[in-house]
Amino acid sequence: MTHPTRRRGPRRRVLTTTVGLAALLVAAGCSTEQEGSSSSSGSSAAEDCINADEAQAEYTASWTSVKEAFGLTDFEPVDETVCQVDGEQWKAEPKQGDSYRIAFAAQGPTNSWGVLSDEALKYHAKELGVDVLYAAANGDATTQVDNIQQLTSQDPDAMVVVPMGDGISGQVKAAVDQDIPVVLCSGLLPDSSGAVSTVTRQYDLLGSAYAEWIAEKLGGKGKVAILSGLAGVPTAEYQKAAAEKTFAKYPDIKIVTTQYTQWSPTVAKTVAQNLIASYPDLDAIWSDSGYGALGVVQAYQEAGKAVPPITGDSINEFIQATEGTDVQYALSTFPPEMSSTCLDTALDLLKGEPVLDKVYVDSPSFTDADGAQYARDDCDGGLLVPSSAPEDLLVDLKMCKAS
Amino acid sequence: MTSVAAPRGSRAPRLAAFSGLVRRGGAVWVIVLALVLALTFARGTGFWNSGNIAAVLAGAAVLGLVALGQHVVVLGGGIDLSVGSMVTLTSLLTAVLVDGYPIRTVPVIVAMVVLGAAMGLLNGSLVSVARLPPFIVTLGMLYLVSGVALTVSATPAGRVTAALTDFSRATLGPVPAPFLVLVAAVAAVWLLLARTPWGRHLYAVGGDQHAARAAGVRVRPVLLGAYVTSGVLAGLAGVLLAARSAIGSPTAGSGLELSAITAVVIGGTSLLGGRGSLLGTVGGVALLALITNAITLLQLPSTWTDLVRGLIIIAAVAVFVVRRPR
Repeated sequence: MTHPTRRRGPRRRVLTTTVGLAALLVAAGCSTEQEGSSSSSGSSAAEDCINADEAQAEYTASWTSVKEAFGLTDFEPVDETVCQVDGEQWKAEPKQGDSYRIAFAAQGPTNSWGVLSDEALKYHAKELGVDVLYAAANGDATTQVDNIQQLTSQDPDAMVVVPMGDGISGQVKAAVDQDIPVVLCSGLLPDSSGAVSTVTRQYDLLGSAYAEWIAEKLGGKGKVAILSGLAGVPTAEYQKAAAEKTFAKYPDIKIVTTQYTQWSPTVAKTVAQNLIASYPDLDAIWSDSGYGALGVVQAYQEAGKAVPPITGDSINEFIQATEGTDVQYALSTFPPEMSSTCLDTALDLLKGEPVLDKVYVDSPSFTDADGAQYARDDCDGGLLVPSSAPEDLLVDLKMCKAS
Repeated sequence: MTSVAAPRGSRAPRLAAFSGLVRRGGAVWVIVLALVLALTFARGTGFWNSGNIAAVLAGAAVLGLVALGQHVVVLGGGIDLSVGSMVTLTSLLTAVLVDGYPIRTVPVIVAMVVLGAAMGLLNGSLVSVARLPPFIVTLGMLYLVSGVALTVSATPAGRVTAALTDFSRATLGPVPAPFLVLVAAVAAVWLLLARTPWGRHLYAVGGDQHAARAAGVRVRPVLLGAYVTSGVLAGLAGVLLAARSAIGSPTAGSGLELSAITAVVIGGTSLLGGRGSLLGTVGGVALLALITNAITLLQLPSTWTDLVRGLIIIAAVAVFVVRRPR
């Protein structure tokens, strides 16, 4: 016979917890004001901002270099406040052993960009004698939420996150709340994530620079197609939004269609074949990727049509495919090897050194006028060129042949 | 009647025992236990620390809710490919509609559960009333609902309230609050399946729809109930996902439908319907959560995640799923 009184304890606890949590939600529902609307929602990083002028100058420089490379006349940085974070508050000795243990919530090796991003950080960590605790999201934000929680549970000294989407913000905030400094790498999250620093190439910069180059190339008049990457993915949507904002300044430029290429040359080729049929008088194509641009070039070349001026990031195969042709293009890079800068930033924080809250990486931009010099016949077609990744790493990854 | 004793050393009794274990959903728990032992041996405190256990359980909550819904639909002889997109839409709408206003929290949660039920009702109606194939109906719904989510917002939008994010991080000992929601859902689904006429009819309809109809079972409401249950659980999962993410994302739940089907299959539930155990599906969820955990804990190459999943699915189909003549 069982004794009901003995079972009442745990049951009552569960019941109390359930009722308590429900009451919490209902009680929270009593407030009619929007949370965070009356006070600043800025991160602690923003509050501790110092040396703002110098930081701002670095930000402006990344825009100036693209402006000069593309020969743009009217191209100014979007408003952005960049400042320094005092690293002293994050200064810490290694929690375990003699070396720092850095958690790396990565995209994962889903494409050549992801492979090089992962391996560049690991390579640099080895150089510095730092341990890496790695977890790959394989491109999925939901998986990355789990990854970050799991990495946090291992109590690393700091964390580098390649964000797969804004949906991970809550988990990043939870990590920061546990006194783990988080550096975002190759992507952005809202300030509410609480990340201490963000190291990335700016989406606004690339999206608007490509659009401005097209607008000036067309003299402010013509029909343009927008080829974005993946619907709903911030990396694609933010660039596209920046491009649309820039094109909106030119009333005589008409965006005739917006399509998604899934950052695949094969999909882009199919999309471009439809473009050739539907819009034979297209004046330019804004593409956010070299993979998309490559598919477009292949489709136009196979159809025996002149390729309209096009943009994208500078993958080796695109430059090789357009070498010796009169294709006009403007390319830049979103360098995967910036992950090593992300690691440096995390370590600077642990050493108590000041870092910028937003490190906007500058990287080479160029047009068809000088693009051919960047083609590398000894390397894989998917490599973003010019690459600043160590040569021996590129050889180890079989992305380039040993010289 | 002549009874024939099993020859000494025969595999028949062992096969029968294994078959029984599979039918009751215990086989997958043997693998879960083996994996737990392996992780305990390999990582010890790293695996058993409260933070890691909480991470495993919290990671299982959203998938668990979706897998429960899938389990019910599959038992009825159907399949629901739209659950991932339902989670995406309800998760996105939770953040967009709440948008940081505490007063909206409770009504929006209720609305998302109702929305999930409505989408499930639409699926169920097309399957049971219009008699369209479940695979095609829910595949179409997957794209339709994904399209609606992207129409609502192509970029991350909205934000939930502090109460919701606090709930997603709250724990009872090492057990995260979202996992308690899953526990409650498992209990509710178990009651529905084991203690109601609808539950018994669902097994009958899934086993043989024509025979069930001939026996007087009203097939239509049974199937409608299965898809509505799946929709309700997807709506709830969407709310939990939004609470965990803090903001809404138009891609949040993508891929969940396949993970849910995986959990159901490796739990020993027959994709032909009519046979399966809730214990097995919960075991499938636990196994998937542990695999993800193990890959990171043991620092194995991330490419192994899908590889291991693929191998387990094939092994489950080959070994766990006890075939029977139809």
